Amino acid sequence: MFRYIIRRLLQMVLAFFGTTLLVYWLMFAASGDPIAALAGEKPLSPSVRQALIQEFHLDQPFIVQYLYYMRDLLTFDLGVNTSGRDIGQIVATAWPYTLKLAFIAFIFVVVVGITLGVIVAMKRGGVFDTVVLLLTLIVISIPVFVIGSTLALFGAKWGLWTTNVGGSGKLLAYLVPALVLGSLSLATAVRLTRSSVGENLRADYVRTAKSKGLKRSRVVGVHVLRNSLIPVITFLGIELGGLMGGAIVTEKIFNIPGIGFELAKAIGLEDGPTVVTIVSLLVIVYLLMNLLVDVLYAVLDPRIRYE
Amino acid sequence: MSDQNALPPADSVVALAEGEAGAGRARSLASDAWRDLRKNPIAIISAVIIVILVLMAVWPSLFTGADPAACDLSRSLQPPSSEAWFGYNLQGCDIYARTIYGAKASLQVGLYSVIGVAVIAIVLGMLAGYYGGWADAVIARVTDIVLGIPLLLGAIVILSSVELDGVWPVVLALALLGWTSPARIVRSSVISAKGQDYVQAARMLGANDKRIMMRHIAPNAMAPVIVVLTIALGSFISVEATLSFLGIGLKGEISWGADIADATGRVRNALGPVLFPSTFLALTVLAFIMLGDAVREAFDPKLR
Repeated sequence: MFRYIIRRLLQMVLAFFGTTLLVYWLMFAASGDPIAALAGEKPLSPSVRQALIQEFHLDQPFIVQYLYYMRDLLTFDLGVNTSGRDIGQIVATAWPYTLKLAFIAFIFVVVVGITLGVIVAMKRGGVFDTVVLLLTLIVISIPVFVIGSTLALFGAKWGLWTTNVGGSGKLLAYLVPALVLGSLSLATAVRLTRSSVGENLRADYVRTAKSKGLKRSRVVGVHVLRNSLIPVITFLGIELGGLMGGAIVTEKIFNIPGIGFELAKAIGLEDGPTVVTIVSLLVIVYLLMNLLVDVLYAVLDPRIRYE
Repeated sequence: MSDQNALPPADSVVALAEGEAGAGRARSLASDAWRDLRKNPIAIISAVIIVILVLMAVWPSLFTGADPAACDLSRSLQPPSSEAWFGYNLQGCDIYARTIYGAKASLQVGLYSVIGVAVIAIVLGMLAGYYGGWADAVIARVTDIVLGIPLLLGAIVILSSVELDGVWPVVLALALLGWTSPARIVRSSVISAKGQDYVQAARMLGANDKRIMMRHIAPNAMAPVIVVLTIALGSFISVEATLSFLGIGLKGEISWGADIADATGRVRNALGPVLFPSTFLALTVLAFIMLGDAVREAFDPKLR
């Protein structure tokens, strides 16, 4: 187990450097002259230009520039964006909003998704089952931004909920945006739980437990649930990482000043440093979540042995 | 689901009868699946939707005589009428015409990026699965790296550094980021096909690696990939619309995502400009996902 975690960590480090290198290369090597972009319309004198090139290490080979960037990133010096604002500060102010939104969405997905999935699996083939399956299929096929815009419309038209969350600290204001953010994961979680519980209900050990005279609630609540939640938990762990990165659309629609909102703003302003930094941070979160899920998987399922 | 469970007895009788009539002609998994699909109402409905969409993309003037670019501000935000079935948007363009013409870009993005993903995934997956060893290890690490980039975020980064009009930048971004899970699926089905007796037999007859891969392994390892790619086509269309909604997707094309984004600001005054492209978008994605599900059921021997 210990060796497995170490090996997994080493793989993660490799993936992290590969991913950030890719993002860094796409953002900088593929764009034009960064000094000209920084200077704007006013032409720079050759000496100022030379000084700037030296300051940003642009005279060094690409890989050295990347290493400078990684050194700063890993010492939590996120640098400044193109308008001179401290990126670390932008991230620090925006992060709590995204975290709050992602966690409320996650709770929705876990509680509603698993409960509905189990209920539907128990009543397989019934009217409720068909209706829920159809609804999940519809939710999966409607893009999140359409669901978000529609709910924002309803909220605004009848004053049901606020569509301009802004920096408000009220938890209530986050409920609808969180539902929008989690809608796709929620629908997938319901389907996944349904098929997993359905499979386990037909297993031999369930028949044994039933014939032993155990109560139905115990058979389902303990035996079936424990076995069928393993794939669901894997899915949920990866989704939590995805929810934090995927908040860009939801935050834009409901005007929440989180990470996704800042990212969308930076894209609009062609602010390369901010885009690279935020994407790199989100990639780290995503990779950590994947690692956590893999370790959790081994803990939850004793049948899985890692050498 | 439930009617499928009810079908098998009658189904197998028919199959038996046909088998006898066909004088021992063995039917392949693919033809079995095809027979199943033709009887599945969900598959038929989604196939009909897809055929209509393809017609819209190839021949939009079949559906509308109006020009999507002929806009007149005096008609701005007019409600649906017999002239324009879906009404007019803020710029006074015919929403019905724009929705019909928008199908082309969405389907192009979906189709081209799925082809790109299929090529990358099949080549890498077959190399990794067939040769194993260090080829497998290298490809697995590359897959890990690309898998570390969430699709939407990666596409945003790629698109903000590529300055080109048309569908190609989006296709490039989706193809470069979307191949990972199909490649893993190809790899695992190649590994299971590699151990089969017929592959051993082919090798003993002196077939080289290329022939074994192309003639023996590829046809037998493709079914799960086709299913995943069908569903991926739907989700790529959805991602493209999301990117266009964020303002970095398609440039210089009529696109549902961009039209929805333009109209959301004024949705309180006029619902039509948001409603109609959204409905078409959702139907398109739904059709591909349902077709993928139906193909999966048809190919799954456990459901027989």
